[in-house]
Amino acid sequence: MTDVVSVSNLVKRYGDLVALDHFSLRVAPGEILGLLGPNGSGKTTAINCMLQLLTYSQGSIELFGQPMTPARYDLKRKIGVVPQQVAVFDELTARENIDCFCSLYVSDRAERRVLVDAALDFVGLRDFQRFRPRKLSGGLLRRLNIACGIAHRPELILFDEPTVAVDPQSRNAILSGIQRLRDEGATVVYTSHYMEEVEQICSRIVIMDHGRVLAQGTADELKRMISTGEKIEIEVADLPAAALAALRALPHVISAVYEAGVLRVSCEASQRNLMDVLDALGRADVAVGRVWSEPPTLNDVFLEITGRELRDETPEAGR
Amino acid sequence: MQVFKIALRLVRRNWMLFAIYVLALSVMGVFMATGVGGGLAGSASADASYEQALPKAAVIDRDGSAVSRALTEYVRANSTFVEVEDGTFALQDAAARDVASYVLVIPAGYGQGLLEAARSGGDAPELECIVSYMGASGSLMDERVRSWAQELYALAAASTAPVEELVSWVEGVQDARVPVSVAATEQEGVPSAYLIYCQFATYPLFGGVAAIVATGLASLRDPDVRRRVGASCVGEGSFARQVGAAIAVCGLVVWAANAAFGLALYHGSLEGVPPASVALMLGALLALGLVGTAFGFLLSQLGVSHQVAHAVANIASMVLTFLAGTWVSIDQMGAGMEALARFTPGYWCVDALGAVYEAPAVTGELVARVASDALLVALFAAVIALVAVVAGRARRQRALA
Repeated sequence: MTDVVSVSNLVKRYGDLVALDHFSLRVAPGEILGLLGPNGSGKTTAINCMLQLLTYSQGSIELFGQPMTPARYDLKRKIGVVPQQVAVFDELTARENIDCFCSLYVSDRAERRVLVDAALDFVGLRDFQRFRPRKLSGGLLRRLNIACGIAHRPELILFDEPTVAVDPQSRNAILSGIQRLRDEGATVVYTSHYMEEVEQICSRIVIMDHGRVLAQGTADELKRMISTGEKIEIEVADLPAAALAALRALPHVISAVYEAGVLRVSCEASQRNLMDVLDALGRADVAVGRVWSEPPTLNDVFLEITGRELRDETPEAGR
Repeated sequence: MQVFKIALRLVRRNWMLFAIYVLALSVMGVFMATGVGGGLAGSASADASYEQALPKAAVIDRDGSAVSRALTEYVRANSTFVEVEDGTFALQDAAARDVASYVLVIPAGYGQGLLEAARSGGDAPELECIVSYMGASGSLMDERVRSWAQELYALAAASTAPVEELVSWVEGVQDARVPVSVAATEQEGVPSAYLIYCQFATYPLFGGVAAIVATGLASLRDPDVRRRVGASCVGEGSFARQVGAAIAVCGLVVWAANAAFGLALYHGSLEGVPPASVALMLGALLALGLVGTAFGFLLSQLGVSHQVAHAVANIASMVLTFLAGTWVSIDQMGAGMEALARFTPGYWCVDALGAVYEAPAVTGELVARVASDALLVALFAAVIALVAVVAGRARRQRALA
């Protein structure tokens, strides 16, 4: 089956800065592809290039199996865009905004009315359809932003960080809405620097940084790519140096750090990591408090590939 | 046509801009026209009656003679008489605060002194007066009082009749006035009030249109909205053409509203005016409206903020209307200023308006002059629009790179 999106070796420069460095991407029909990377990694630039809103110095872009150019309005008709910033008209009501952006694709008024109603229902803005944007809360505004991008029933929808600065309730509504769009047959490219969201809704994930694709696959595939298989945290009142050394000597242990009464152990993938660690502590007569064990996250994947945290550059309170 | 419709919808939502820049400024034009050029009905049907303006006057009679009483009565009859206390401060204060434009002080012994001086050929005693600096009516009143006194002096010198008789003679002479009335003239051509209204229309047609276009369509310039529109089926060229068409419609609407407002208000005084004259004036204003439209388009393409757009549109309008001679006649500004004014569209627009006003009839020569003026104004619009297109293209190129 033809890929909906096929980007090959895209290079985009802003002066000396290389925003996209031989960036390649394939998106199959009906999938939600997550483009995960920190701010400034090139996600938005990649989307803008796909939409022909930016020129690029090298590479090719095909959408729906056709070469994409600025004048391919037949292809643009099949695309919906939900930009990172809320892009609506302040002078118009929510309904009028959706109708205006839908009218850029659908000229028939009667058909549009049906589509606008459906979009309002889809994002749950029916009760707010006569409100102007400034009267809407941040979460509702984001929903309006989405409705403006999907009202014309596009086959490919590009979501550019649609949940930035959104409350948890609205974020969940947005994420479940995107899954519903996929269920209705749309293909989705979803950019974010929030790994939990990407892991929650995306069937495949592309991790990028500095304009390059670092790794791609399903969440499980990505986690299996790295050496960290399990992270164990144990509350320990006192840990003798000999016990710590014994832990580090265990065969699957990658690292063991004791800090402020908490022992943090990173292990390779193994069935017996937790039992081995607890046995070692028992042999050293160390009293153990609470114990946590968790599999690696996408942040661990990013950390292991790049040597830095995914959120190094995105400090956001309340997330 | 979707962007065109969206643009018009956005402008419609900014109806306050129309209220301020079209209605309010047109009303200002009416006020100016009423103040300078006469009432809405025009001079042709103005009331021909005449009413003399009376100064506010007061008399301090320290004499109490028959002469002083008669003089006081004369002042009372020819002024709006006010009472003023007899004291140095009170008298000065009355004049300073314009309680009385003229205060006459008749000194003690004035009547007797005047008669004796007249009959002996000596100098008449002086009358004291205080005249307000706030107008000329006090001075004019003073002239009339002195004329009254000189008349009495002359009659007393020539006759030995009793003082009461002399005074009645003076009153008789003073009553013999030249009758004054306003002669109505046959109205021909455009009334001056309508000319002034049209001259002031240059403000809403330039600054008003520019502000409406630059701020009313600001949402369409928002980078995120542009990105969204750019990703849609609307091409860059089509977008620009549709927005341009919407801007042109804005200019036309403002021109039509201003013209309709003027015609509705001045239709009475324009009854005898050839419709061609009015059409020529409106044509010249339409050309200026194009300049305002192009200027608004330029502001829009430069991506200036709402505040800057309002400020620039108003300041530019002030300068333009000043150099056009709307506020002060260009003839009074000196040759240098007039030479500078020739490089502005408002000058040529007002020149065309003046030509129609001064012309006794619509002739081919007049039409040619107005057409050439309007063409010159339209050229300004074309140049500004071209600069706007280039500026807009440069900004888009930068955004794409």
